[in-house]
Amino acid sequence: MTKKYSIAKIILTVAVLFFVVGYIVYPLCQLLIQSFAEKGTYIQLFDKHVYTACFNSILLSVISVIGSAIIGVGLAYIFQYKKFAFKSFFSTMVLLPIAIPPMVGVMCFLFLLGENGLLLKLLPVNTFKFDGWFAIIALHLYSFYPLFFLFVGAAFKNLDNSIVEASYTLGASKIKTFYSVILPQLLPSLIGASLLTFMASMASFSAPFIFGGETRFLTTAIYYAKINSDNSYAAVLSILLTIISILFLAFLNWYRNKQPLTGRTKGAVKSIISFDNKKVSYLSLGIVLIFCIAIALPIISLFILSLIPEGSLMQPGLNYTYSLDNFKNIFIDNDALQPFINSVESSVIAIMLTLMIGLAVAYIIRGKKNVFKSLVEIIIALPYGIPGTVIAICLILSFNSPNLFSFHTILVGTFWILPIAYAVRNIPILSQAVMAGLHAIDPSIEEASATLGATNFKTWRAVTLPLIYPSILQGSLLVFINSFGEFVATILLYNYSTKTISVEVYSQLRLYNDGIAAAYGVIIFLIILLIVFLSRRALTRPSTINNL
Amino acid sequence: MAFLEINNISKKFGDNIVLHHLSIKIEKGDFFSFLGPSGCGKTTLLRIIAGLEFPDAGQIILDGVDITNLPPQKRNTGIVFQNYALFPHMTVFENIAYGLKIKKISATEINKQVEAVLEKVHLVTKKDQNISLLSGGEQQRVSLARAIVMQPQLILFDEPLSNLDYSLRIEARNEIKRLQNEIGITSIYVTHDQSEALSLSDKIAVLQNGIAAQIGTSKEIYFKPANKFVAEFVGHYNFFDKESSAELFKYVTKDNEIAAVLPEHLSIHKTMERSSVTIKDILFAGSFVEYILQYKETVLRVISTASDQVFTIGDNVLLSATIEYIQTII
Repeated sequence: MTKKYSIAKIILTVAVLFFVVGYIVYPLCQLLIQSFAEKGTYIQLFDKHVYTACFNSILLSVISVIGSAIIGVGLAYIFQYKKFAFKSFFSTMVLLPIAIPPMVGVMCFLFLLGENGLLLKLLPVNTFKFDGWFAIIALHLYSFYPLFFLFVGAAFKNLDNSIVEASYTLGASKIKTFYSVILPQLLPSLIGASLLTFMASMASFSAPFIFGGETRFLTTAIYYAKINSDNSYAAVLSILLTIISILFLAFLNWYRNKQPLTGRTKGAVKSIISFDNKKVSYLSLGIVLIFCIAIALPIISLFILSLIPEGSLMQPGLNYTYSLDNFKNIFIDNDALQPFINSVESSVIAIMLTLMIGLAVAYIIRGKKNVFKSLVEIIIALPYGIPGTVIAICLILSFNSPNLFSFHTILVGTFWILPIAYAVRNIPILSQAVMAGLHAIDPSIEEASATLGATNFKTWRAVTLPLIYPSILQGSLLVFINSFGEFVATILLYNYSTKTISVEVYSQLRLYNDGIAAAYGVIIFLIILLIVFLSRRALTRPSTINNL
Repeated sequence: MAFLEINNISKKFGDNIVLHHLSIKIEKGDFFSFLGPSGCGKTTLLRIIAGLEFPDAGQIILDGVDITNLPPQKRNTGIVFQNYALFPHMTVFENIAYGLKIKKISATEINKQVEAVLEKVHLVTKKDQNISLLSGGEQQRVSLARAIVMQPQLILFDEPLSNLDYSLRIEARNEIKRLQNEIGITSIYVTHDQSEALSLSDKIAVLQNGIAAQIGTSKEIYFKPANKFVAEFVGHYNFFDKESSAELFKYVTKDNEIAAVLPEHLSIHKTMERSSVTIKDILFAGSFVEYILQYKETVLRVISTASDQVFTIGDNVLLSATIEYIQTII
């Protein structure tokens, strides 16, 4: 081992430690300290309001998991086993909600089903009010079923079809085979998707905030406590929310590890040949078509709203004049363009931060495990279990006075608090992606490089990095998508000059400037779609090795 | 009427004709193999017999009953899959009991039957183990036990040994043969390995591009190949056209015929004279030696059990064959 390599490793370790301690451990400690700052805050936990908020959050999460699972698994089953026309087009369509950040989703549903919504104008119903639990659950299902569709769809594809056939030849019916052979194979991916959905629902803010009314959830309760400057109450609630999330995470992880290894089969997995007749094929097409229309309607409403003059929705009837005026207003007016610039800048900085820290973590963790490495790994994964609202509270409590990690300034209220919050929220995603990429590399490839005389750093740069490049790219894009439309933490951290595109959407909505809000929503949606599209192309292109 | 009649079966996947008016008759209790290279249609035929695929035309008649359009659940056939297709989330016992439970057999009876079959495949001690903890050979035996416990009319083997190591493969092959003798179930065995088919089968159908090139006993297939394809695939015969056959063996074939000789029926001798046959390579395998010879443009293979004979690469040799071992093939 050369001395040069040791220095590189020391520098990286220091950088990682600075980030981990300064922006994860220290803020969490501040949260704990703040929760004890005033006497009697913990007594409030036994308050009826806290109990109700807690119950509501958990109930909402459970309903979201079950509902999304039913939709997602059902769709995945149809796409895997039924033959129908335009399948690949529809499989892209059903993933569209992924490109819609929560706040934009809320807006889409408001335009479609809200008080003056487009659909309500078409249908002669006056008593229907899109609000409360129904609205929140609808939005959650809309946002979360793609997780199940993706996870379970992948599991279906990896399913060894010969065990299904073996079950048939042993006399099992299709239904019996589904629940006693197929379902157990899907269990790991079902658990994975449930975990993500549960945590996302617990942390969900936008939909409960807009549609919740008087119904309090933990996230909204924290927000209102903070707005009322009741820091210690906010801290106590934050700790409660974090504990529930992390307990659930731990429970499912334990349950997943308890399961025996599945899918350990050799031999080729045969593609499934469907014996269905035309009738079934048309029925499947019909179901998928209706579903896709339902998925598309909120997005279509958003596009229509962005193209019609302000206030058109208030007038009766559906005769609109279409123009690009709303978009022009954004791009002519400097003030209106600023949120867009803020969002792009903070997301790009967040990506760079997560990339630097994520790669450094991967580099120092690679190789033999020890206590220090395991500790870093756990802490880096921690923000994954912490809702965005709580991360925002932690950062506020930590950086409202100058200290070492804020570089002796007050970070709260500045632009820099946003990319830091996004980076903390997304560091688990990026380091997970990098780690998964590293895991897939056969160690003998790196050993081969070493025996050919390459230093560790050279091997890392010339062999390892190019191999994990697709994982890094995918991780970074996820970070961008999450940051670009981020609302939950931003709403607590922004000020007028640093407001981001999703905060602007919210404030324009409150001012009843539907057109501008819709135009912003369309821009967010299109940018995310474009990025997803570009990344798919980049990932399917054969990798070039000439840039070593 | 034969026990299993495959009548005039045809099957296409898109434009690809996999089986072409194929007919085979299999007698009760026989161990029957479908032998052929990959893509010859052998696995598709097996899947049609199991009801996992349905033919475009033709009939499958089992014990006098037309089962062509029956779903797999309604047929009484067991399969041992190439990758064993064990349920990875169940124990050995649960895997074997799976089909019996569907039959609604009482728990004590299931227990008894599973114990009995575990005894047969020597896996009693592994009864409650998880599938993922078993070795490949053990998984293969569980798969076999799961099929035979159902007492099927037919047992189908889809290249069951191809995922095993060489030494295990021989052991498992003998095990399958022993069990089949013991139980006497009619068995159909799909393989591309001719030595497996030859050693296991009562009868073999050699399949070539969706048709049966030859159906017969192991010896018939090996010693009396019906055409050049069978001769080459099963026996690795050497082929000689009219001129070479006359030059080497003084054996005269008709214009449209070629002479074919098994590698072990050729022998080589040292010679002082110039000869058109030279040794290109020598592969020593212990109990036998394989000589690769160059004769004009063609490469020939000779197998000799006299492995202590001394030849070196580049030697000129004389090639000979006994007349009765020379086959003529159209």
